Amino acid sequence: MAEPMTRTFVSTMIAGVLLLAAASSEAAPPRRQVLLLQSFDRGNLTLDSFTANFRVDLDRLTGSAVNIVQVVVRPAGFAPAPESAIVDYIRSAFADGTKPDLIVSVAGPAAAFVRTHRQRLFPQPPLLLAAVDQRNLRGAPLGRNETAVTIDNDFPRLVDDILQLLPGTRQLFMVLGSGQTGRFWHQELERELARFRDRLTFVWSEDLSLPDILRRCANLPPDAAILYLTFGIDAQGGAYADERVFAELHAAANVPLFAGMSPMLGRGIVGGPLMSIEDLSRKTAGVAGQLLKGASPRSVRPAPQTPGDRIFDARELEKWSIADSRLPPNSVVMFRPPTLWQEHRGLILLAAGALAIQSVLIAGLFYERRGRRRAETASRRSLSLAADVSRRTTMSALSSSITHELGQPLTSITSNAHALQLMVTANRETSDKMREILSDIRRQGARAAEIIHRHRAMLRSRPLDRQPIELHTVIDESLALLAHDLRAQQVEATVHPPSRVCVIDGDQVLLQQVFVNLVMNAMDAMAETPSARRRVTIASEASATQVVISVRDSGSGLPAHMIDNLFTPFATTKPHGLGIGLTIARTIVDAHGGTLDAHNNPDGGATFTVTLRCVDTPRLFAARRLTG
Amino acid sequence: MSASNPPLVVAVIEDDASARTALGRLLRASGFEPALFESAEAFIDASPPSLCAIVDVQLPGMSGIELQQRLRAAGNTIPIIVTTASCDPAVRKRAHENDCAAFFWKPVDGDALTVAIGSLTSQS
Repeated sequence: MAEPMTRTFVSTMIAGVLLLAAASSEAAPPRRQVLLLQSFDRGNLTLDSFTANFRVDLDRLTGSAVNIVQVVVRPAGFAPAPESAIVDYIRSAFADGTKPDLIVSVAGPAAAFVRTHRQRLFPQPPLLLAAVDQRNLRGAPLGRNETAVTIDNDFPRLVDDILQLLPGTRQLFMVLGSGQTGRFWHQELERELARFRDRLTFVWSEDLSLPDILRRCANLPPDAAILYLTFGIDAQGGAYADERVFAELHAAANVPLFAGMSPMLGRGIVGGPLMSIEDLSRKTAGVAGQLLKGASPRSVRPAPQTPGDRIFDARELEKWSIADSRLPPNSVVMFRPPTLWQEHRGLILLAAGALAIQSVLIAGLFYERRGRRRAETASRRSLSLAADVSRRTTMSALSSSITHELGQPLTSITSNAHALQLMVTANRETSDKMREILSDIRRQGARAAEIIHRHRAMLRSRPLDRQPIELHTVIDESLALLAHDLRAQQVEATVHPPSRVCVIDGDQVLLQQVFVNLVMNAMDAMAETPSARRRVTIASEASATQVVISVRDSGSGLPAHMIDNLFTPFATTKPHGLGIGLTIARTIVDAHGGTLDAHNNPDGGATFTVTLRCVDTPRLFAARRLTG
Repeated sequence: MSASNPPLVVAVIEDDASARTALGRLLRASGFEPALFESAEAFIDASPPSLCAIVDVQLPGMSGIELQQRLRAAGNTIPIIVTTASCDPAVRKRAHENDCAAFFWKPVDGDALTVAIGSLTSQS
């Protein structure tokens, strides 16, 4: 069952390599240009998430890199610029006579801006109004050369859910920023939420400064809740990224916090029917792809997207003592508290291990194929090392106990599901949905079983092959393995060796796998960085007892929502990634008694830090003398 | 399996409580009457008249393979279906050497298991 998937994955990776090769050896085809007009600066949680996803989705859909020129139409932080100046600025970005193949505006303010200035802003290319609430388009129907991917926020449903969860709520404190955006939504919501007036008092905050809002939210009556829409500027004209506002609000608030956009989940909102920004960006990329292929804007006008599933954050439910029984039917609860995680952690990690075999096999195939392609130039040594890395990683990530540990719970899962399925089939009143869910459980269980059966023979545990090794050997060999990729992707790698000799008691091949993985991640993160600024720096600082090796890149940085689960199996930002590379890397470092951590750099990009124990060098050499 | 026939008892000898319960549910839903035991010793003590026994290999005390040997040595011909979560091919070999009716690696495919038990009923 897993085999076709494996093949697709491998062929995708190989196709990627071929494309890369083609790009480096031949003249690149003309890149399509997209002018992306962004409503707010970075820091707007919803729009950042949308734009980051959109870029990835569009690249994937069109199969080639699209040049996206992004301009913020309402830059914050300085005196409001006349819009005409921003129009001039955009035109100057295309000064050499080129023009964009497509204009995409993101959210309401950019939509209004581009429609106002369309005559001066390239009237010929099609215009895609993205991520805009359909309320913003009222009274100005779409023109012949325009289309839109709209959303239909359902605030009454959101408020209904708040009352369902917290029936005692009497007051809703509305956070929506000031300025045009705040005024627009205040008017809209006052009307749309009119039916709640006899039950709820709405407190509007667009006349308050951010410090005032935070103070008020820290001292709300117990029967209040906070509804967060967005934030741009406060009543005093202070510009704040809503990322920061949100974090401060969550820290200060003495009552539960609600919002309607999926990127807010996990940042302190209780939850509810959430607008899936991931779905929205995928849909938008689909429409953009059609337009770039020459489709008429009138022919691609999807229906407005409505809020999706109700998703709740278990930690907030617990914090505010909201019982699961109060949740509406079909609610999804995420971020279950640690007890449950602890209960299932073994199983999840073991399942990750089982999948790790697959990915390692894939990696093995990949290395093998790539090896064949450049057999003339590549050294045989690095190839056999690469194959060894794959095999040994498999061995370390797994042990034979996995089959036993996984076999038992999977027997329960599949047998239970099977039994229930038989019972349900006999009962005609059961819904189709339940039958579908049950068959899903069985299918997934069977899939995991298949993995175990197929790889049973491979599962033999092997201890670490520890030897005293010099750190710089590990790093140099890792970079040697990646030399071709570094050149192809025009990444400049710099090594700062430690000031003193540093010897580690470790498994060289496995440690190399860690650094290969970290550098490959760094290269992936810099795919969008201009090639002149693609830099990986591997710096080491050694003391007598330990060495800290940092792998620093100048790429896009770690997305905020990923920072806390970077090392969790299956967490990935890569469209074709399995999300287990870092899990394996950390497993290897753990096995050496070290630590692996990550953080974003203040000046952009990310740094991964590996800390390993050093062997006391004099003692080591004494030992060598004894044995030699 | 007509209604007039006595229920077809299938013994399950499995130390993992959740796997035991789940297998029992599956058997019941498939029209059999499960008799559940958490050890080989408990099964021998009860010795229920059964259509067959589904035996896990790794059990506390007497192992599934030892149970096979004990039963055969005592002249008991009850069909034995051996299951294991181990990944050692030698286990399978030993199960077959000691006369098992069927052998399954865990996780066991429910359909394959019920088909195996069904084939025993048609033989008997």
